[in-house]
Amino acid sequence: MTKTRYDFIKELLVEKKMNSNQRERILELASKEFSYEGTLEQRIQKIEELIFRENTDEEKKIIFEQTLGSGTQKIADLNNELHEINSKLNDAFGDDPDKVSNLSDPRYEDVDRINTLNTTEIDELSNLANLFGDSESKGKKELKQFKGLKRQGGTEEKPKYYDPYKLYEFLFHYNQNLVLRYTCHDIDEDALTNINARCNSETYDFTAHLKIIIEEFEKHSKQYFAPKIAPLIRGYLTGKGYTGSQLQNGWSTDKIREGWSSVKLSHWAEQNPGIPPNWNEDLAEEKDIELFPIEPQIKSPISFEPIQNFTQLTLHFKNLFHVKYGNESLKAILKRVNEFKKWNDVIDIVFDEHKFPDNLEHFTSVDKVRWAYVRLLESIVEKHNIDGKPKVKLGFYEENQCVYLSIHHVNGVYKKTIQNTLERDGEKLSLLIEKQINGLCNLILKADFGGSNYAEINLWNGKERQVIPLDNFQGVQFLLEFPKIKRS
Amino acid sequence: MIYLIDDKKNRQKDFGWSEDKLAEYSSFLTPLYNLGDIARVGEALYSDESVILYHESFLDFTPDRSKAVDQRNKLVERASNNEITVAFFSGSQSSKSLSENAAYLPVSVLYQNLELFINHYNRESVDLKYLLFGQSPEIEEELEEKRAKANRDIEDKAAEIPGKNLFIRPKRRFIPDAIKGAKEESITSNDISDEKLSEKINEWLTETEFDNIFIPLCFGQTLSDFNGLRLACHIRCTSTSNQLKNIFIYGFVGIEYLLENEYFNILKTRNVQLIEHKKEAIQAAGNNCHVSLSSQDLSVELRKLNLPTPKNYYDSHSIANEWGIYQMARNGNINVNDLNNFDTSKFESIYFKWLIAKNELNIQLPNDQILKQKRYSENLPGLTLITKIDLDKIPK
Repeated sequence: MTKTRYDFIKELLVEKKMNSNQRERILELASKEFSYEGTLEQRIQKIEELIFRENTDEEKKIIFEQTLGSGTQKIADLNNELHEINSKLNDAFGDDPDKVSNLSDPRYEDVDRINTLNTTEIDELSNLANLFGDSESKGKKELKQFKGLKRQGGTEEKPKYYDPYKLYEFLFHYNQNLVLRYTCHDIDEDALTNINARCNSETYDFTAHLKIIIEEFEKHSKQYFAPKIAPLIRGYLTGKGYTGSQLQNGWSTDKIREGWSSVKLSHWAEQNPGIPPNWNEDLAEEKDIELFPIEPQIKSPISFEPIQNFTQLTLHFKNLFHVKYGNESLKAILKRVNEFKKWNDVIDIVFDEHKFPDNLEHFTSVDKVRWAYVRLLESIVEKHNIDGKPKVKLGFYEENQCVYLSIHHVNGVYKKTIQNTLERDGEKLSLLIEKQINGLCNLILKADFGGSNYAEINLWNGKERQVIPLDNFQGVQFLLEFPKIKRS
Repeated sequence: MIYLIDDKKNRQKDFGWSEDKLAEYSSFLTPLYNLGDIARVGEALYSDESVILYHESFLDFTPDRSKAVDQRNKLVERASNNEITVAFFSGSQSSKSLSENAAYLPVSVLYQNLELFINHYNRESVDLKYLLFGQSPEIEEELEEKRAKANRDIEDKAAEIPGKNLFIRPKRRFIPDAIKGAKEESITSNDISDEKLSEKINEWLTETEFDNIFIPLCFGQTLSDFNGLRLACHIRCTSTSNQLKNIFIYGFVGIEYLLENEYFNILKTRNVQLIEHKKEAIQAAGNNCHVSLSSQDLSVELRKLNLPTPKNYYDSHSIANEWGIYQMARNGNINVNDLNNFDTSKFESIYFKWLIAKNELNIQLPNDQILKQKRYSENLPGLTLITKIDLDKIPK
């Protein structure tokens, strides 16, 4: 194995043309790799840095082989397996994974596995497999661990902590970027003037516009790091994964295939010269322009509204990462979830009048927030063990540059002891942290642990768990903390 | 005063608010384009009578951006405390919402309803709903919700109806893939005038003969106009090969919403049916209507319409005069479009079309009558000038 890596690096240094920086980097990485095997986490981190940062395929290949061994045997098999599961689930339950969340069906395990990966990630795995070809089973095994696919009742290592501030930073600056912002807004005359100026064109030129969008995104991805959302945005803009291979299953969990780089959109642009695809709907209607249709229409899981054209898709894309106000506020989104899940029948849900405004904006992965909310409420329903419905009070507020979503089970008692909570997560909490929380937000627990024991515990914030005793506390409160500034 | 905070003059112009139009409303509306403008207004901006219309991206990408963000945060805070009335608008806002004294809406909706809002503000009434929903805010809000729900619940499978079907839909927020194999046409908010509807009918219904025509109950900027009823009247009153075909008006409200509409009576005529905004309802309607309307029945059916005289005429004499012109031209076998110094588009209005169709004047005169009339007219001596009257010389 070591010989293989040695040979590979040697060949690379001797035969490949590369500049001095690249050569130096390879030597440095090779040196590190030969100096220790490292824990899985350390090795995975290296892969992530290379995969998620911009590197050439060749660089990725080197590091991938160095860290995981010389192969990624049957990563494609893994993909096939996942696609099969996905297909089975679709056959059984349709498109909405919410429908299966409460089922005790053995396929529940599969649902969770699917939830871990979005289609972009699945495609990414496939792309990696294509890049590296068939290899040994170690790659598959370690990738399974990397993606958290192998669960053994919480006995596995905890996932690597992703700082949620990075997600906020990535999205905030995406929205501020002079070019990228118009991929999540509609375009009016004024915006069009700006775009044309940037494209050095007097009239709108879709090809030139798309080119600067992709260039700008490449720059953005190098400057900011958000592995939890970047694949989705990349898919939306380029239709491709990190390795440059075409995404086969769309770019989002809604399986949306159309995006800025779709061939059909390009044809539409040819037939509608001078018109941006996300032209303001009123302006398009005024000029009797038929905007690029999304067929079949998609029902937005965020707004529950149908998406019928590309301008609406653009606004939907924005809703995937920007909690806004009114109908696009978190309050409205959660109310729709409650209605859909019929939770008002089984839970007394109250939105805190003073601590849940419907105009608090935040940049985050809205889909993951939604899922985290679903999982936590499911767990509340499951664990509620006194007479009457569980009472849940919801808050969403900002304090000290942090946004908080509070889910407070007012008439509950935490089922585990303080010590157990420190030592070991249950299977569902592990899954919640791994799939939804990590990289999205920090998770803090404040609870009545029974026997007059009250405490606050940092379940997930990148630091070792600590207990802050409380004099008193009613119920069980999960605080999802979304930092807007970088922690020291 | 209403303060319009938007740094993009082009955008304003784009949505119909030129400098001239802004100047016209300057007693009530003050546009502010930069921080200097805002500073000049000072604390008056936050007075009780003020309404602030704020573009979400005001001064983005300018050196003043951070100051503008501070300004915006201040507005949000004051709005949260119910201290000011504010509407935030943006190109990334796809829906409308109102929370006490703060509204959120798409940029196009703001400029579309701004004039109406000013008129209501003028009457010392600050109700942001006019800005969000236009002339009849309560009903419009309700209809928008009903439309959203209806579209959310739309079935996937297309309706299957034998024969030739025409499915007319609004440009936006429509039933996708409604009828398998149907010809589909879209109608925009610009197409709601009688003249435009006549144009569309001639375009869609002249060449191909359909068995069934499906039209939306609501289209155009104001849903509560229920323009589909008027469109159905146009189809029935326009001489095309589809004049007598089945008309299905699909809508997301029941008949109780339509009782006051001036075109309501079209629903009392044969082979015009109001159906639900569902593919299932479309399929059922299309498959269950086998009795066709005959040309002999048309006049009788159209008499049920009983349209009121148009409001843009001074009195019924004005209508009688134009009606007289039409009749004379017809009897003289003259195409009305050949008339000089007369706006023939008047005859495209639904009222005249209805008069014509109801009285069967769109049926061509028999050839022998035309020939007779021609012979008589040739025998007429023509106009003879007896004398001239100079009105200036008549004592007052």
